[in-house]
Amino acid sequence: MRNFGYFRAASAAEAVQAGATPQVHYLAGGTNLVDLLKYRVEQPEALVDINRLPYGHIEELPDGGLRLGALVTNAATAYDARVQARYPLLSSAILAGASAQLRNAATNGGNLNQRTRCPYFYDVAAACNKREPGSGCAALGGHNRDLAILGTSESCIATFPSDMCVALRVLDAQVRLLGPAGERVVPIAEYHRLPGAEPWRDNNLLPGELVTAIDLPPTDFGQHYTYLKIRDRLSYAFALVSVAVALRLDEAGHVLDAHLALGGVAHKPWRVSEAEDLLTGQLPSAEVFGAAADALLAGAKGQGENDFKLVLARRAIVRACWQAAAGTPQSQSDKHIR
Amino acid sequence: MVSDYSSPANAKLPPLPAPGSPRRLEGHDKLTGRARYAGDFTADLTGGVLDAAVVVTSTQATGRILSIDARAASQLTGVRLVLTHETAPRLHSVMATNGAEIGDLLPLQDDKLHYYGQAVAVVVADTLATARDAAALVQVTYSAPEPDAAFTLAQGRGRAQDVKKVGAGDPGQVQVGHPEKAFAAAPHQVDMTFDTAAHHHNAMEPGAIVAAWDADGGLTVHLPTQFSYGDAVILGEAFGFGLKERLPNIVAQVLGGIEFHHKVRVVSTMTGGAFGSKNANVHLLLAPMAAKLTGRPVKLVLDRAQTFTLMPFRGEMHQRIRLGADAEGRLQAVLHDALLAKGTAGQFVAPIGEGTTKVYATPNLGLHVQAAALDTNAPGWMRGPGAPNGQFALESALDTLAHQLDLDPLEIRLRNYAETEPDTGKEWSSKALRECYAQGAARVGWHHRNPQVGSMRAANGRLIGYGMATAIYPTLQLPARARVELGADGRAVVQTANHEIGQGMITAFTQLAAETLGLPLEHVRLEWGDTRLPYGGMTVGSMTTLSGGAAILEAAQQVQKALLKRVVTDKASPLHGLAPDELRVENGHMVGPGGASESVAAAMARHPEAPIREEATTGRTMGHSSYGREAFGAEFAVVSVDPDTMHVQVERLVGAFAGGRILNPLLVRSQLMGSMVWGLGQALLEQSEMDERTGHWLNDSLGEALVPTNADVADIDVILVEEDDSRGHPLGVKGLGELGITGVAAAIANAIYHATGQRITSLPITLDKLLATPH
Repeated sequence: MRNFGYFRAASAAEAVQAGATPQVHYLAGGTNLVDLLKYRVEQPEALVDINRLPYGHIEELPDGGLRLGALVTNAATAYDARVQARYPLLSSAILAGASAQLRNAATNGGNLNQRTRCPYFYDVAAACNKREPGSGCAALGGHNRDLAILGTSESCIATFPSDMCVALRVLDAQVRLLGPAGERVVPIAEYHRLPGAEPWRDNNLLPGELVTAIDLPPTDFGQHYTYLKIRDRLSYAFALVSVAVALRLDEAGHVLDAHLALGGVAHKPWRVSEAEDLLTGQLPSAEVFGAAADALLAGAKGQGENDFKLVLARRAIVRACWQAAAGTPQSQSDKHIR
Repeated sequence: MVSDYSSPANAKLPPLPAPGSPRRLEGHDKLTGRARYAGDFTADLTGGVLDAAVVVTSTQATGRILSIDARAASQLTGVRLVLTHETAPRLHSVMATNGAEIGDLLPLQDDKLHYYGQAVAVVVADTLATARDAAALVQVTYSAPEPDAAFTLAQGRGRAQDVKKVGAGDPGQVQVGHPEKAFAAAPHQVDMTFDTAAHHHNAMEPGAIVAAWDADGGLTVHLPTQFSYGDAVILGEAFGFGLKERLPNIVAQVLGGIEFHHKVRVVSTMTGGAFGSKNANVHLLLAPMAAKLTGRPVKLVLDRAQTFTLMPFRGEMHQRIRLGADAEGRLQAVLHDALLAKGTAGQFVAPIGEGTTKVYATPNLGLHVQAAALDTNAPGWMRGPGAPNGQFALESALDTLAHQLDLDPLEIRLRNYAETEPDTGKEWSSKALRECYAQGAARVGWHHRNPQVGSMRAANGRLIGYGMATAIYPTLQLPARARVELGADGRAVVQTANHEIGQGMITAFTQLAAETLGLPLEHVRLEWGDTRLPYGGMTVGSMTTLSGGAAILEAAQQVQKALLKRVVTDKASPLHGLAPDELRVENGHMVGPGGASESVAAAMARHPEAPIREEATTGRTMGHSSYGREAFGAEFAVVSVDPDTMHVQVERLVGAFAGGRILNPLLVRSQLMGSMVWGLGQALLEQSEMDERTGHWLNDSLGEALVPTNADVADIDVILVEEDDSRGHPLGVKGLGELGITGVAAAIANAIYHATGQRITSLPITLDKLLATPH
């Protein structure tokens, strides 16, 4: 680990001012950043410790939504009674991720900004356009079993590893930012980026911008939801494919509203409105769910070792839709797939 | 090492769960962090000075080092040394009895690259942080890599060569009868190939060493190891000490009563998991090399990624099994061809044929082992070490044959039950495998399953399958010495340089000595893991209790004999005049007929000038016996498979094992259970992933190298089946540590077949392999 400066910000203004300097990173839970420092993937001049900033609370919003402070830990968010009652999908997705110890330290803001787990990103001897722009992509033609099948580019096939953000995408969360130019709000859909020609840009944060909160709009997905995460190892492993589904059904069982997103398959949580439109007004059936899965996976392309993800994702989507429609969400404590 | 933790008598622990099963004596210290591992050493333990060393490893597998620019690293404040092939001391060549890489390839002696992750420099600094910092600043320039490198068996198949000896000397080529002819003529045939992935030990404790040279030129190292004496000899050879003791003759020298030189002292207090990995690793030499140049004690701890290249692993294996059977399923021919990965240096080839040559009766048997030297670090001993893979292939093939003949998989094993050792015809010392099958089958409900493939479903729609396989592991023994001294306080000290690698040696040896001497457990203290103590042998091959236990048993028996002789001739003793064989010693008291008794402490206190000390050397036959000596077991698995995602969940594992006398059921259960969990990992999760273009192990962290978590681990039943092996060994014990892993992968693969109809012939069985079949 290269030596770096350390500055503990006493106020948001102080943090943003310090954070606007190039080669300065914000430090919250540090569960990903500290690893990256050790691996020398990140070699910042300085860290600005934001843990004392006033973003450690979950608050009610006037419209009936919730505001999740950026510094609330993933564990505190998942176990918050309001989150569990009104956004069980989010709670479930968080608990599907990492380990209890990591969730106790990791923050909501940090979860949004975690880096890919592509092995070549962590290997400073390997070519990686995300780590070192212009160096190439060792994952192309390399070991890519865990990597992306959707939204890839010629310069990067990395995935975004978050579970939490897949649920946030389904819940249409809004990300609140504070930067040198003041506050702004970015819909979660526009927060993360596809790799394109600039894979080093994971998201659309501007220099110095700091996540202060995640706003959840009021929803009615408390009954019909699931977060289904498929992985080789049942705990403490990243998703091969994960599916977040939230449905509203009428009394006859027709789908009034459907939100679906995938994790583990792209550089951002993957959501396609055409897939959801195919569900609206329909009764649950294998055909309907299969058609939605096909729409969600339109354009998917394997890289060789990860070709199986096309089949796996389609089956996982259909399965997750059934779980949501039946009101039997995947348990995250008994991790066996239901 | 002198045990310095509080007496177990003072430990506040709940009652023992099973009579005769003391808990681990060092357990409290391990749990509280008081147990000291080499990586825990601080300067106060090495005379006030302890520098930190960090290894720099190559990022290319082949070619040459053109230059190493250490200027920036050397300029950091606190950096004492950057050791490279240009500045390192020249070493003398060494022998390594266990086929370890350093027997062929000494570190930092020239500019040649042999594998990715090879040690190319060592940085020493006053703090670990500075050493790490400096290590990252060392700039190494390489020539172009060689174009014909091979990192995988698929790439290196052309390098295959027949192997004469596998493992510790078992034959790599076996032929009994006419296997090819018999196979061709057999009415029922199975011909299958199997591929198993490389995987690493991932012991909790990485490789570590503390090295200090003294003013007289002596060398002391503290490190986790499985063979302290072997390490001492290697160090003595490498640094030109001119020792009399030599590998591989050391065993003969021990038996000949050699006086060891002890100029090199190796101390191994605690080893945090070894499983074959802590055997003459390259850092054994690197730290003393660095300390020699700095003149100060050095501590070197590998980082996790370095344990993937500077320590061994289980290499890739490709196998072909051909079974020929008659209409009743009786084997007429067993043919086993294997191609195993070897390292660019190092001689180890796993004993892959353990099962095919020892488990089933057949008149015609062929084993043909080949190895291909790849441009990687060397594979080495690892839990099993060949039997888990060999049994995966053999037992999968046998399961296939059973289904082909519409026979119950358990029935086909009984029909081929080997009443004598198949490759030698020897009588077994003992073999309770039938009881293992019966008890395991009863526990798992084998006969209540629906044997039809694909017939069983759970209420939630998951496919259910039952599978089984035979477990086998050889019963080995090597020479060991032990010294037992009964002091004036009536307490005993037991000394032997064996090693606590997490298996429970301290407890088992203390318990064994206490039982033999008739003393309470807390009146016996073990000293272990130090070459100043009598030769304790190698802590390998599931033979610790067999080797070291035999020596302790004999020395303790002699001590007791001397004690009884003393009291019956001691006029001051109430036992005076009795015959020694009229006395028994229990719980620290010698008791004679008619209630006469005296405590051991009282008898010894009368002669404070004359403690009783005896030494014994055992294992003179090197474990060779007129009997076939193997431990057997039966593994049963119940799996459920998700019909959509094909994710496999092991619901239950039942292992029934016969291992002769069970000295400590608690320790034995925990070893077997751990082994079974590893078998589960090998079956479903574990593979070290390599970039096949560069030879770089990619998932070299505990986050990415998947080993089972609690969520993955099934309900595990360990059944200890009664077996009398007193004609096999003076203690009647067999090797059990590694037995538990063998057969597990096959039992799980066979259960997956029963559940799904899919025969997966490569490990690990990940869901992509099951998804590859049209649904």
